Amino acid sequence: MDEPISPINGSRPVPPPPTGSPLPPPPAADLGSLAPPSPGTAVELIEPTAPRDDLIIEARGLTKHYGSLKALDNVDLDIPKGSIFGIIGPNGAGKSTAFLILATLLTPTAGWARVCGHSPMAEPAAVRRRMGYMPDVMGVYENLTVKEYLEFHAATYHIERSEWPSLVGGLLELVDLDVKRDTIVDDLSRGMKQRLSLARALVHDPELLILDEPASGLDPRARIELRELLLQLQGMGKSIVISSHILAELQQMCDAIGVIEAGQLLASGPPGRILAQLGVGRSVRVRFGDGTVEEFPVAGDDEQQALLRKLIVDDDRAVLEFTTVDKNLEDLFLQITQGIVQ
Amino acid sequence: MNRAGNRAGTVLEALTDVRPVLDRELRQRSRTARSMVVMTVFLLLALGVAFITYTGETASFNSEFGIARQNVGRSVFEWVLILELVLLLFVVPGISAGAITGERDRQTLIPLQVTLIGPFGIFFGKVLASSAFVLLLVVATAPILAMAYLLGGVAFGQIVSGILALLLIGFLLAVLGVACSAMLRRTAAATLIAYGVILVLCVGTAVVFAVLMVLYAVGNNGNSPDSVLAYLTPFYWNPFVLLAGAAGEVSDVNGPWPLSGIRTGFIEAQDVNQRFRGDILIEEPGFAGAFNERPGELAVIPLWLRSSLALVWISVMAAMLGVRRLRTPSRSVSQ
Repeated sequence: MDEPISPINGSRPVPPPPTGSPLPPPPAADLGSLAPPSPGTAVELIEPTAPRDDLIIEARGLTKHYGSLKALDNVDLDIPKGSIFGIIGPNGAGKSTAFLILATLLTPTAGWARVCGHSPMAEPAAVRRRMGYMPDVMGVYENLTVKEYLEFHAATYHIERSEWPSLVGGLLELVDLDVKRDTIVDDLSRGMKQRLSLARALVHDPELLILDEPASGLDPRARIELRELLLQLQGMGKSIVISSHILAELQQMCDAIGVIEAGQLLASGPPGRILAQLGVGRSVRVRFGDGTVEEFPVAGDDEQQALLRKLIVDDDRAVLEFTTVDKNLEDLFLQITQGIVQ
Repeated sequence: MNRAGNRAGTVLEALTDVRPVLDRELRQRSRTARSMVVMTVFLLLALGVAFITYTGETASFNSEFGIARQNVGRSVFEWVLILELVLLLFVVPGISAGAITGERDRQTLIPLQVTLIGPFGIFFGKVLASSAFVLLLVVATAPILAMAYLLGGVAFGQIVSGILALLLIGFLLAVLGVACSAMLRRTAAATLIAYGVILVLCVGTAVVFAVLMVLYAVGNNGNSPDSVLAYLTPFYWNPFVLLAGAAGEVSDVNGPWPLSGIRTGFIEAQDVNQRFRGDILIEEPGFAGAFNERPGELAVIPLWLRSSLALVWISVMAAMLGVRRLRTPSRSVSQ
């Protein structure tokens, strides 16, 4: 993934990294004829740009206000086809709001989106045919078996009854629930319910999956299984947009991530590139002769050597230990976000 | 032509949408003990009322006279219908007002809304599921009404009309209940509002009618009433009036029969109108009379039809609001 980092959006500046070059300023989003967002205004459906074949999701200036609360504020998204895109952010950051808009459930206050080449506002049925949505909580119907649950959802997508047996069998095999086909859904474990919910989202063979916190509440084994399953689905050509609090999971499977806080998309792009550009990718931990330990962020090997030379030669300090520390998505998340709760 | 074709296609699609929700609801309902308990209680109460009415009537009249036997059949018929209506007024909102709020509580509404099933399919799938239960209850009590037919005093057509009126009322109550459920977030609030609306329809209309009649009596001092029938209008919204119009008897006004009493009251009101205005009333001419009103003649649409139209109008309004509330994408999503 050699793509440059996507625009860092919004008016709130990203906190400057301790070392390394700052992120480039956000280019102005192409909002075309969009009116400036204001609470309660009508939905702007105009799409000023031609659809791009390489993108599964395209959004410009996506904004959602609930009264004075800005749940989503002028967010731009470009998500390539076939990728796994992770959205991270604290609770109340606007992740679910963005997902609800993309999943054809919520109208934005301003801005536009294109999902699978169609507008979620103007052509919801076209989007629904191509998109599977999994909310953060799986709803359960009492007294329905796993098989009946999937059959019901197959019917809701107008899939012919004759196709149900092979469809349900294939999905249950995919999510490893074929031995539970006659079990009442409510009796499944949480991990199994999440896998069943994923099977439900796949029932009409969508090209895009939007998954809101699918790993929430799962034990480590279930999380690993889910990750493997999502990678398998990506291998089958599906595009996946996922939000999660478990950042290590996202780092392992996502091709690109977006960091969102207080309704604003603060950064987006491949995790490694964001880490490198923000200078969060590496630091060195130094233990001095007087027993103190300090950590210094470094951009690369050259800077690391320069630091060591400066400490020993220029500053004349006794260095007992010099350890390289690789940082991860959690460090990035903590650095970019400020814990703002709306 | 094209637009008409599209509209027909949309309606057909909407009707197709109803089926998955209806299938699932019926399957789930058939697996709960609650449905069986409600049906058992319903049947036992209907049997109990039939038995009490029968013993009461046979004790009051000498069974050697033909009229007594006729009264017994009519009494059993009307009191069982009244009981069934009262039970439906309690049962239907109870099962329908939780239809959509229950989906919200279980977090199953959003997964349903992102499917290809539209708001019409969700709404009327729920309505038909509740109505199917009404059908089950009413059909289960049909043998008791048939018993009344055997006792005499009731025409077969009146039994069919009574059953059809109950089914229509059950369907309209289900629409009201599901609409409340779609518009409110909590089942308790939806149930409360649904019962409130029914209370207004059953009791409120009677109170408004009584108040209007008092005002009329005070204001006119025996002068010609412009339209007594106009004062009856609030009563058309009353489900008991619909049932009376469908199954009540007009000619025999002497029996203590509730439905016949209501229907006779309407006929008497029309007579008052006739006396004061000199209007010639065409007795129950059906739809044709309604559209062929001539000077000096007051066309009378059958009572059951007037009442049905009034109740259907409320239900259509409620259904439109309910379907609209379920439409997505919307400005807010209730989870």
